[in-house]
Amino acid sequence: MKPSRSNSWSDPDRRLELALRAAASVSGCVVLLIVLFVLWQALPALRDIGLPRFVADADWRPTSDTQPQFGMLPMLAGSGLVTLGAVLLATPLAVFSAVLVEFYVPRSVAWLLRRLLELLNGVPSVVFGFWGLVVVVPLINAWQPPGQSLLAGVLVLSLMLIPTIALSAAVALRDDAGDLARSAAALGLDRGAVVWSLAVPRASRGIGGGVLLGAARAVGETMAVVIVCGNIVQVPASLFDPVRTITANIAMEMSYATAGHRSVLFATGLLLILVTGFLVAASRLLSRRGARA
Amino acid sequence: MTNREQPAATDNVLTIDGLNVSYGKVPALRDVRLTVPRHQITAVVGPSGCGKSTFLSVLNRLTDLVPDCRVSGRVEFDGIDVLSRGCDLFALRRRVGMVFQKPNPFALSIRRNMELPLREHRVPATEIDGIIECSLRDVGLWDEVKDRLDKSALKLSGGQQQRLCLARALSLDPEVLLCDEPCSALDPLSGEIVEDLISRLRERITVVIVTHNLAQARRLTDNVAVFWQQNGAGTVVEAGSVDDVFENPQSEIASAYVAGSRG
Repeated sequence: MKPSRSNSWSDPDRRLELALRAAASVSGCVVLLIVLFVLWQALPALRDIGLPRFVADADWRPTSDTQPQFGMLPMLAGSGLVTLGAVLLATPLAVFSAVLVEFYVPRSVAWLLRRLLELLNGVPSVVFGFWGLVVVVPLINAWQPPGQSLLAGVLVLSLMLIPTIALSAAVALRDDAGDLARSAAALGLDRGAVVWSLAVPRASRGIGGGVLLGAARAVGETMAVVIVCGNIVQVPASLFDPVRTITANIAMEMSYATAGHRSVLFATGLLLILVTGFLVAASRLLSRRGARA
Repeated sequence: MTNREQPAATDNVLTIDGLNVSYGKVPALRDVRLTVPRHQITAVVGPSGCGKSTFLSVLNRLTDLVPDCRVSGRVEFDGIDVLSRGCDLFALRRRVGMVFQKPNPFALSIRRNMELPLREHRVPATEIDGIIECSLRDVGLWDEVKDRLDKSALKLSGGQQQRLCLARALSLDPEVLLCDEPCSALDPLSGEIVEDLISRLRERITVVIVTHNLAQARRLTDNVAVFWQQNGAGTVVEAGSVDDVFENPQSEIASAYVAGSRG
């Protein structure tokens, strides 16, 4: 033990350290407690209904007195497809934005674009949802009714993911970019070669980390998809079919759910925690490996 | 200032006249005049902060990458006006190669490091493998890496990385090679190997090498330019053959500076 710790309460540095430790423990404990609480609430469903029925049941009729059905497949498909579509659409746009900001525009414009991306990142999702409802949904409705659809969710969500992915990608691209530019320019390589043969491949892990982080955000996004996706429980047959995501399902039913139904919703919440937790951890791992390589 | 003219018979590959460089409002070089004879090694020496590296990066227009860097004056390379707007940088940088202080291989395989510049410079695909082997042999690296060409170049030792960078620069068959303290970041043994390689280059190409090491300048090079900070900006205070500058310096500054090398 260090000598300074013997009279711990008289040492201001030690007191500050203890205070910081306490504050950190509180936030850590809260997260842990939330997970435990969700797990506890989900246990009846996991025990009495069981995981197989979540996928095997043909219908979602959680409130039926005679024969309740807990088929989650439509919601799983909804969340999965909305996320996949949004990530696929947002990734190229975000990477192009990041490349543009880091390599193609003057510094003042780059500064402005970065602030815009940060601003976009901070826009509340209900605003995106509202905008989607009055702009995107009518456009899709005019083309392929009803408008509220998987496609609307994908479009609105992808817009929300662009800043998340672009900002991560920009950080990865910026790393040592000056050195790289000098090394490459000295060999006569032009900007295209620097960007596409050197900088982007080198930043690929960081970009991948950003994509996973974006996917985590997409899986957990609720408000915007509630507003634009239509929320009908069905496995969509096309991009224009309304879908309901797991998050939307919880948001819409939790207020009146009781007993078994309620527990099932908690079980789906647990699934969301696990999936987003896994995505965030994978994102960290990928980005860190990238930094080391 | 005693900036001596080269003898008229010498064939100069680079002629620098009235060169001024500033970063924003801060002057870095003022009125630099220097001629670089073909197929010889010219050392650029002087204390830190006197603009040696800046001078080097004017010669292949790397100064373009520094947003607020302003360059004026005249730099002539083989009849080409290097500082003109119309100068073809792609061609210039192929003919004027560069090796940096810190080895700077790309985070790619050894093969890709060599291949990428050759491809970009439209070297026919059929010749690339031959050129890679030949260039790596030139720097004595071939036998060390031939079995792991597809491994990351970052796995090589510092000395090997620097030789790879030298090979990469030489693969483009440049006429001039700019070296910015290429040995100073290496261990003494690796530094010696790189120094030997550079010294053998003079048969083929012209070398301009920035160095802090006066002993190295003396044993390695044919000509020396002494840079010094005067009135807030670097300039050449003495230039000439190694023997002239070291044995019979004309300016007091150069005389005092090179005295350090006599021990």
